[in-house]
Amino acid sequence: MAIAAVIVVGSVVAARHVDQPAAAPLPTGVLPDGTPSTFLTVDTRGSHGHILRLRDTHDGRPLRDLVRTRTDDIDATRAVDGSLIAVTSSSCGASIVRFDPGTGRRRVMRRLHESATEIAVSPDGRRLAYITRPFCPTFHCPGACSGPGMRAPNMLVVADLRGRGGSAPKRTCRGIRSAVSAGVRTGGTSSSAR
Amino acid sequence: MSAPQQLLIFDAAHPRFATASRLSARHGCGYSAPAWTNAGIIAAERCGEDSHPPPHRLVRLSPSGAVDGSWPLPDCVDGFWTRTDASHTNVLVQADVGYGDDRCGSSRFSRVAALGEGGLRTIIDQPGEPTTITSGW
Repeated sequence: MAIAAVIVVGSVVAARHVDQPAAAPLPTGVLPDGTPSTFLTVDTRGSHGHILRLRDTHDGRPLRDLVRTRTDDIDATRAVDGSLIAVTSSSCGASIVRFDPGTGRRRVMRRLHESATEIAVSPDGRRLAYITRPFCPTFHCPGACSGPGMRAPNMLVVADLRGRGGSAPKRTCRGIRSAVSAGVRTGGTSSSAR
Repeated sequence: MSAPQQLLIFDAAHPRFATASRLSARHGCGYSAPAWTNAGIIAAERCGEDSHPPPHRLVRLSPSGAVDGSWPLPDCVDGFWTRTDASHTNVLVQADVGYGDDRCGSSRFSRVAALGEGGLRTIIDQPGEPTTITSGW
């Protein structure tokens, strides 16, 4: 019960730290060389948080700020239908938001009881893959599951985006262990030479 | 390189390390930062004796591991990311260049580039320490 309370608070905090700039249709064109006319970046504002920005692929200049957070991480990608899927993520919760390409309006699709990074949308737009960490088992079972969760192997999760405003099921100790054993470590999409 | 990095291709329905197929780079090299496109698998190739050498070129691989295209990267790359677009045709590339206090520390910038049918094209070079991370198309 205690862990459930901690998780819910984390999700609420994650949602509260997201600002909502004005809505407008999202560009969906391509340049003459076939590349999409825009791309997405997450800009860090020092200690003031992060901004999800839409930029011009021609020269990289910012076109629009889509999401601002004070502390949460942001990740985003486009689906085949042109909609934009953004995830704001704290250590214990995440919100999945969809921007309609025609109106630019945003809608919270899911709230998760775990972090979510390195996102990828399935070709049919119905599922979202992300990386998370089994960070909470210390409170559940100090035996087999104890230890600093943030140092445990990362897990690959596939979430169903259908439905409205639902929450991912809470992980049990057994669930975490089985997910880790079947999980995929990250490191494939980013790397550092240092 | 102490442990050359391989690319693993998983069965989407039954992802298991034991049954994943593995693509190895040429001797002394490894792969990282993969992106799967319709034209092949894009990955950064790292070669050298260091424990974690910087990537020096992008390669395009067939599912069997054959290299059928390559594009040079700047020297002294530190962080490196790739992202495909929704059509799996174009790849967004970010290379953070510069680290340490020696030769590679003299110039620091972040390069964002697009890899598509026209080749690898630089979109923007931003000087200084990286404050921007490419997220996707």
